[in-house]
Amino acid sequence: MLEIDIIIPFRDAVDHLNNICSCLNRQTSNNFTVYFISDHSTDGSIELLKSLDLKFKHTILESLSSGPGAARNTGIENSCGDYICFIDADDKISDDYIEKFSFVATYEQPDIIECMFKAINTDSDVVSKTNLASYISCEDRFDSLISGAVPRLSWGKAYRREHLLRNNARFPDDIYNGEDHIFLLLAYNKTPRVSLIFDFMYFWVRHPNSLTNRTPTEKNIFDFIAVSEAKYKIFTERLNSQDIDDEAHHKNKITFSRRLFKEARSLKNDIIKNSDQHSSLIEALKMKLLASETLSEPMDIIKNDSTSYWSDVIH
Amino acid sequence: MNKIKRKFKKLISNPQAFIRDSRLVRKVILKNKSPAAITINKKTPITPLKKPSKFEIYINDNGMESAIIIAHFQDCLKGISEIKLNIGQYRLKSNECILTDGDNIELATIIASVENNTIAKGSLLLEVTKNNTFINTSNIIHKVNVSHMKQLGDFNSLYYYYKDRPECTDISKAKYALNAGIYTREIINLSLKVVYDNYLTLHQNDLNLFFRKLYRILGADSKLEQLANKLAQSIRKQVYPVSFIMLLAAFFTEAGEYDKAVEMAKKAKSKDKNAWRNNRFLGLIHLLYSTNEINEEWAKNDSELFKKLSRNEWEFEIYARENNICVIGNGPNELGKKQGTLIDENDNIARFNGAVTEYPFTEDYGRKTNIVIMNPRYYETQRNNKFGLDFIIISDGNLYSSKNLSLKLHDLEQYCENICLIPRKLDIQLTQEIGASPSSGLKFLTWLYKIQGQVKRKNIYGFSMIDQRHGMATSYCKGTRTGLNTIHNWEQEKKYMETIVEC
Repeated sequence: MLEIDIIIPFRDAVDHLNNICSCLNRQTSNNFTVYFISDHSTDGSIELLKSLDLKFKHTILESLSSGPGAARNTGIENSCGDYICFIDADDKISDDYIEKFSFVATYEQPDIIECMFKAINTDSDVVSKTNLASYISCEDRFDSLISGAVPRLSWGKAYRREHLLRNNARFPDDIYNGEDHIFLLLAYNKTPRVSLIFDFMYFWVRHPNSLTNRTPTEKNIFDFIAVSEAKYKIFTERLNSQDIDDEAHHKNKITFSRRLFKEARSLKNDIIKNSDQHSSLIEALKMKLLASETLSEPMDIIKNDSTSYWSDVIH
Repeated sequence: MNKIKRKFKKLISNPQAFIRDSRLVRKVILKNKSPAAITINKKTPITPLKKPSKFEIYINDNGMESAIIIAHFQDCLKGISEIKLNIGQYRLKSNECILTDGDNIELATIIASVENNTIAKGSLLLEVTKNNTFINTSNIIHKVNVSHMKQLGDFNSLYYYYKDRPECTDISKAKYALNAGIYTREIINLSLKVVYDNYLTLHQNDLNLFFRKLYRILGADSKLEQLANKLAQSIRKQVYPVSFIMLLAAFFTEAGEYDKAVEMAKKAKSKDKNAWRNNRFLGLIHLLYSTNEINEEWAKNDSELFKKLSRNEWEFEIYARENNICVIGNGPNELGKKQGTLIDENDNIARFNGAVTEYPFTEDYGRKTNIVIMNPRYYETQRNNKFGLDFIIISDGNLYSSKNLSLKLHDLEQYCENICLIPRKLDIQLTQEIGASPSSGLKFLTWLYKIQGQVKRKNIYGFSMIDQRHGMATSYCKGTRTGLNTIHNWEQEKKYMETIVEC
């Protein structure tokens, strides 16, 4: 059987590590090694890990840079198994998670293996889950990621190490929101062979205070612009390398631009709803978007588009 | 304009989301709230997802064969309202499909196959890939498979699928078996018990089915006398389909209860003036004509035909006693043996249904034909327009319980004067002996056996039987399974044949 490496980045996760370690202790297969990567934790998480009775192979490392992406990159550089999985410290996995991934990895050897997920709240109620139709859709996964048809989540998947190295798929440093987007676009860029597992095996626990659920700040705006610019670069490089006609070319750009502004609008609405300084943050979002040279083309597209995105975001 | 339109659409379709997202409305709400309340309610709570009320099936749309499968799926799901079918380009193999109840996902294999642009009988539609542990999905697969077999009229598979399931009752077991053409002693006894024990509670359709099938198997047997009388009584009081009343009249004709037969026939006519013309049972029409209840030309012709068929049965027996008959079945076991010339050297040769006597099959099976034994359903056997035959023998039909047989027989009279039926008594005996509807081949060989004694092995060609599954038939000229509606029990037929053919 091929070896699976699990990378768990964490920062001050002392409240959650026990749960994820229990999940890993219960795995029906021991064909895996866990890399716990601390993003400069100060709450005693590392000490806790050392004190736990862990029945699986594991290594505890300190991240080489800051942010969840950098911690994952540290894991990629330091692990050596055939496939790499990312799991967030506050989430849960099914007991046969490794067994099923390992089985598909060994017998199909695809570039990426995906499983289905359920997002649950702290009462274990399901709040969202994999959209089956999008999950099994034959559409190129890169295009689905661009249009937002599939969620941009790096967990719930196993990546063949060789594939990640060949495509130089890494997470951006110092980005706390949307770092997955960049990694996924790189991982899915060269039409990888994808195998699916038809089972809900990953449980995304939606904590009220999790990173994705916090009140937006200026950092969110910075991250949004940085991620959008990086995405646009990957997107245009790929588009220019494809042998497609002008119409298809333009259509793809419209799709990208609309998605970009849809996300900007969501961020703006999030700021309005949840931030006390919404006027200044909204202004900052507008200014940064208008100032971005990289994003000037999608902005021109949306300015002349039939949708209301331009007025919704910029006015 | 677009924006206003969009907002208005949102207000109509999702007012809650409109209020939640509207800046203007939010401002009003926030104005009326205390600052403390605003801080607490800053984040929208993470609300649980609503469970979908429907099961969903996802299947791939990829090419001609899948179009047939998809159309079949749609037919199967018509009566199952709790399933939604999704068709698209999915990351599934061509024979895979996904079932989900929202919480659980089941990968299933589509095991039904397409042959000659038709879904083949003899298998389920879906089978789960892994051991399915989800009771809900398992029930759905069960429903889809049952609907699949019913859609195809594959009662044989349905019977074997159902008979050991916990929900199988005596009534359903007997019904599916009869529909499947399984006429074993156990099923006959069970059916008689079910119909007599539950006469008052059985649905009229079920009563009709039991009577029709039992009459097919047993003929006008005394075991059915009480049931027929009960039905006659019910018909006097309740509304029954005209065709069924006429069948009961046909039964009474065969049983020699002519008064009851005429009474039932009149009852049917009182409900539908065309009842007699549309339900032409030869024995009954002969009775009605000979008792002056009817004097129309068609009835006269049918009455003549009734007498002619009875006489020809006798004529054939004389012919068979005086002539050696070589019987050529349609089994593929003679292919490549080059015995066509040897076969044609026989004086009298009998062939079946649409037997092909054209080159290159003549090389192995010969060409000469003196007798054609045929099923008058032209769907399965081509309309045989050969002249110069000594006899045409109708293998599927009798003088009493076969409806509208005369239409086909009048048609065949254009080609051959000597048309006869296989004796009713022989068909009934053989059916009970092998526990299924016998094939034309076995019926004819049995008739020869009754006339001539042990049938000589050198006089038989093209009877393979062993390579055919229950409910399937193969033919030398097609090479693939044909006659998907046949429900012969080849294993039992082979055993029986060994008792009538000399070693």
